[in-house]
Amino acid sequence: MTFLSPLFLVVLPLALLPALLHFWGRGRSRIFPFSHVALLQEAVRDWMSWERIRRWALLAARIGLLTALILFWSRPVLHRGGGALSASGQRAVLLLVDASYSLGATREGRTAFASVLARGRDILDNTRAGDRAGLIVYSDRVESELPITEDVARVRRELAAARLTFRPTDVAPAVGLARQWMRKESGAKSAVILSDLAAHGWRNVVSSTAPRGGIGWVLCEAGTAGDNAALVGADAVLDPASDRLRGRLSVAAWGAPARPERPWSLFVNGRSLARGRVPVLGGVAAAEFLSAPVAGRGAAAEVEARLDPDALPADDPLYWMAARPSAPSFLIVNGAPNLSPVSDEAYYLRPVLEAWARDGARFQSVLPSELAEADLSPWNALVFLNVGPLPERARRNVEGYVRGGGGLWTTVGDRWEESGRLAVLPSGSGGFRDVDEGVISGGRENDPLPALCSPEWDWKSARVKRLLAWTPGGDARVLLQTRESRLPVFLLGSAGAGRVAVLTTSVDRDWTNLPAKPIFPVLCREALSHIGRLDAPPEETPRVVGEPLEWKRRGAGTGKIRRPDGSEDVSTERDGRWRYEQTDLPGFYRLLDAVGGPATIAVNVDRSKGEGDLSLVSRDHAARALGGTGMTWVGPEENVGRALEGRPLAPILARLILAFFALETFLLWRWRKS
Amino acid sequence: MILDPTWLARLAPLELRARVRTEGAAAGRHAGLRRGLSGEFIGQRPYAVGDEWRRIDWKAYARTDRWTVREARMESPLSSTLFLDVSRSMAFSAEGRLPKIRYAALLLSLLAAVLVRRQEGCGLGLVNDHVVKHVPSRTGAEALARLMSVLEGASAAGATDIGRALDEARPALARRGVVVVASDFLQPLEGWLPSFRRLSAAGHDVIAFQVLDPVELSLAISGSRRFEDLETGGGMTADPEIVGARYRALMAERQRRLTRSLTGMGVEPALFETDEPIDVALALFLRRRMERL
Repeated sequence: MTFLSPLFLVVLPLALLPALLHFWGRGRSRIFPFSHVALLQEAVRDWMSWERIRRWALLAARIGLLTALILFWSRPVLHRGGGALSASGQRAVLLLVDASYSLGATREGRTAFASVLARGRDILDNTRAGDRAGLIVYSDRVESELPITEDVARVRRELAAARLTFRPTDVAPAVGLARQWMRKESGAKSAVILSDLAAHGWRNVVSSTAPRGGIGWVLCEAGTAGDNAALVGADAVLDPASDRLRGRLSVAAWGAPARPERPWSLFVNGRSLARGRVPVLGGVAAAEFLSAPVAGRGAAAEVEARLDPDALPADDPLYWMAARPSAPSFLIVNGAPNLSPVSDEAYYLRPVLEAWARDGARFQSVLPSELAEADLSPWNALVFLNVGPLPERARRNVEGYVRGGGGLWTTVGDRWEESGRLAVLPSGSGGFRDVDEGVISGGRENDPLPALCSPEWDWKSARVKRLLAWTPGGDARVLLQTRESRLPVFLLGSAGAGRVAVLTTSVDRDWTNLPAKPIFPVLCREALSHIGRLDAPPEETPRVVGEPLEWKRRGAGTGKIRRPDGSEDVSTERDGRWRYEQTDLPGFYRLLDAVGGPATIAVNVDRSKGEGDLSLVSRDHAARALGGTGMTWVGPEENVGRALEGRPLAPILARLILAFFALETFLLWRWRKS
Repeated sequence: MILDPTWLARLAPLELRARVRTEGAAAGRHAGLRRGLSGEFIGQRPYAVGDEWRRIDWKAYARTDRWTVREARMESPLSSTLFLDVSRSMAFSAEGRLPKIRYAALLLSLLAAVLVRRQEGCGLGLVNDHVVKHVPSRTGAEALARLMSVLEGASAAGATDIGRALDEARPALARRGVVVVASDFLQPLEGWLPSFRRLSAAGHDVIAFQVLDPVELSLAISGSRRFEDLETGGGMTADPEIVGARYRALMAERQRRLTRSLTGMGVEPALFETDEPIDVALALFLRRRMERL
């Protein structure tokens, strides 16, 4: 028998403490001169024999409890016929090597992954002729595998070839595969998990009943530092109105970081543009707002934020493409162009359009007849001004555009014909009406444009003389209506994936004075932003290490990829799509022209988040998740070879501790009762 | 020994009444065995030769023409003997209370004072397994002073054998009277009850003052102790919290048996616990006895 933590044996003599106290206490019983000891003797005659037994039993239970506790902490291992590597007959050991990026944490200048590999080698070195071994290198997936074989040397080579990945940890797939392999094995079998045993990797392990003659699980702790800080988020974008990158960095910290602040630096397109310090407090997420000038006005910039490296450097950088929000574009379809600008409905939209154009918005005016052939996909929305019935092809083009997600704003004028109404409009009309009424808000708080429902807007001065008596249908929401007759003036609806806005009167001073009111530009901008989906944040799909990259790009059959480490690789094109799968490093992957010119497309690949908390999984959770015949936990300083060589006595000692504790409790309870 | 005057004041109206007829030539308060002219009238009888002429009831002769003689019971003084157990077990005390021997000595001193103030005789015996000292019954202040001096000087020594000691002292109790024995009576009952029976049978009014420390009744002490017997020196270790209940049950049973046995043989038992005020306890005893007799 050997002890994995023999230091605890130093305190073994403490187990005799109850005996010392017992005899010391007995010798020091206070003398009480008494007049009637005979009666006392009679009183205790029945009780004394039981009491004597109880006292000795209590003493034995206490000594046993202390002895078992100390032995439990000293981790004894029995060498006769227990563990995988000490049992006689066929023996199998399967190494599960954690290659997730949290193993990149350094301790005393050595990464946890290096420790893991060294421990794996030790185990393989201790195998004997006839032993079988296997290897699973895993992150959140099985990275490489070598089924259990008698060729231990091959396992050793595979282990040496294992590389640290930038993937997160999920031990479940590896454990599942190990169970599957071990089920086929007979004789003594141990599965050794070589990992930092961080809790984040054990969320998905499902408890399993071990197969017959179950697996002895050995968990080898790599011993990483508990404190860590990581960049966990960045939402910086290029300001479309300036040459600056604006946004925010999010930093999370676990444990008790030694430094209260950590320097950070920001690189845009490879150039260092900003730096600062961010507070780092254990258990508290911090945010750092940043604003950095960016040269050039490209659509996107390669941004790398980097915390000053700590024990786990892999989670200190963060890569992302900072996009410049594209400028909105609107296609104005003028149904009644006039020579006189003031007679043109577009004239009244001019204040809106000019102000918006200064912010980068783009407008183009076309005639209805041009819609049949026009490519409408680049436009955020179409603006119909007094457009009459459209030709069939143009109608189909517009309706397809709207149902596919495009926006449509239409005003009604004297060219309106009910028979030519677009099907995407929210229901129909009942003819023109002369009303000459004021306008009131018909919206509610949860309407798509709540700003227009605000009481601060003065709609009362706006009047409508003539409008189309519109009957809202479908999901149409009336935002403006006439004061007395409650006829819709402005309403919003949807068609397929697209959004539609209808102004039931003309942008003409003879029909309404609405365009002359200060609220009108606001109405137009809000409504156009809504139907053009400018108010929705751009959807971004995070790309993480290990997942393939795909581009849509016309070109030759092969192209070059410049990887984050500067090396170049080849990407192939198939059916107009480029694909690259060796994304094993975080950073920017650039697709170069076939001739090796400048990068035409850059894509960021990042580590997945959620590995920063390096706190250990609880032993109970691990034991429940793994099942099997038992679990041995080997600390970072302990000898894994010894743990494997014998049967750990910890479970037996744990039962003994419970038994002694129960005996002591029973004896004390009986004492109280007697 | 100086008795607190307040104790004496409390006991002043009380007396120790005897259940038996006392013997004595002198006149006293207690009903005596002898008949005479004075005293409590008990009846008439025909004149017989030898009767004194002065005892003839002449008024009755005038009415009946027969000589009749008046008879009256003569009252004589009470003759009491107090016995104090001075064995080593009486040295016990707990929690700072008076040792039993001191409590019993004070108790008997007070009783002696009560008797002497009533011009009644009082003797004393110190006993353990034999009669250590005997003071014959006398009356008067000098006798009381001597008794108190002896009681004050009493110290606990020797083993207990109350029965043997009383048997030894019995011949000295020439006249019938009250015999008060103050002891803890913790020795086996069989050893001393026959002596009490013999005393009672001899016509003495026997009173047993059992003086105990409360701890002897309840064993109410905490922590494991080594109990050493005051008389035999033997010992044992026990935890009163564990054996207390059993001890109390046995003690209660023993006390019941003691009371039953003593009462059965005409002995009046009285229990005094050393945490009770002596004067109050004695006054209570005397008052109850006066009410009863």
